[in-house]
Amino acid sequence: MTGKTIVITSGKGGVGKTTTTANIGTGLALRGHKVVIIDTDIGLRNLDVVMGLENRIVFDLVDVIEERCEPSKAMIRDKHKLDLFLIPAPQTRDKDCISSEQLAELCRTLEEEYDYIIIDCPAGIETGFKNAINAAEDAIIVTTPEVSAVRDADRVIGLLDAAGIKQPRLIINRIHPDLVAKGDMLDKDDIVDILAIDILGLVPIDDKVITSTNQGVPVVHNKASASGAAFNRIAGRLDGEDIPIQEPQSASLLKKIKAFVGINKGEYSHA
Amino acid sequence: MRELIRWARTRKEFTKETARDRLKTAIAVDRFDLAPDIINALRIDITNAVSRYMVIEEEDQQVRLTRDNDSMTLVTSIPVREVHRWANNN
Repeated sequence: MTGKTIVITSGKGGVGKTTTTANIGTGLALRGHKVVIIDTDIGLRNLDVVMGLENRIVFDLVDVIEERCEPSKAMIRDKHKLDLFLIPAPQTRDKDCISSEQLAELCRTLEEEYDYIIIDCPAGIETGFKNAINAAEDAIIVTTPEVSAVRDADRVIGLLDAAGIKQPRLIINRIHPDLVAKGDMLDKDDIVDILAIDILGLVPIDDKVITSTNQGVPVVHNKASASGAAFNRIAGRLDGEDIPIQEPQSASLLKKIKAFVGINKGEYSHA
Repeated sequence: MRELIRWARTRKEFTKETARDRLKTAIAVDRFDLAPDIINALRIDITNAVSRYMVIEEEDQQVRLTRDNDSMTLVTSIPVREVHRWANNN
């Protein structure tokens, strides 16, 4: 069986692309898949800290591409001993030091042994973005419900289309259910209407993402958290499971009071 | 009190409506743009098609998209030196 390479992209920076990549990769590994995550954000690597692997880096993506080491030497295994590996980006190299063909070739090699190759794409639409999308057969676009992020997502959909990726899917991240309820935030239907794209998942804003990133443990491990549950559903959908899209719900008043007094630290729930 | 709440509610404009309208406009403008290499490919195709019928000045050609409210127009300007004899009416 050969694996599948999926690029995670957004256009705009700061929408949670790296966090989403770590959680999708981990979510798929928790389902028993063999997963490699590649950080292609050369010079600005971050997946290592999000996954808590920053102290274990010896070799990086460019060492693999320039054949200074075998791919397996640069692959850092996940802390929880899942079949989950990270190939980190180099921190000190020029961002044009790898070519589109080289990255694609690496992905094809990895596909022989792994179920999913997840590429974390740099922000923007320059060379790094082009290399990342050319190596992938499928794409996930991450946006937030903000005008700037959705507009950039539209540009990226056009560029993916030109590169032959016709059916990317969208994750809307950091949804504030309270603002949506008040009519002060774009909702899923507004965004789908404008972008004409399939939804892969809706992720509510959640303090747990921050606390779990502080600890270097992707929030998808915490299935009781609203965002962790959302990322688990996303991994399930990617895996072909038919899981209905759930709109994030505001926390009930009781839960808010509990959260306030510290009984229940979960901020939002899914009704 | 109840009247006051009702009044406040009818007055309130949902900011997401504004966001949606602005987003639609911005994206419509973005989608009207043609990439420079695509414009050039289009220009070459037009030149080839027109050249079958007449001799044209290749240097002075212009190809651009103009946008007017909700419609888009492709404007080309191609100076013609002469029409091929076979295409001539006489």
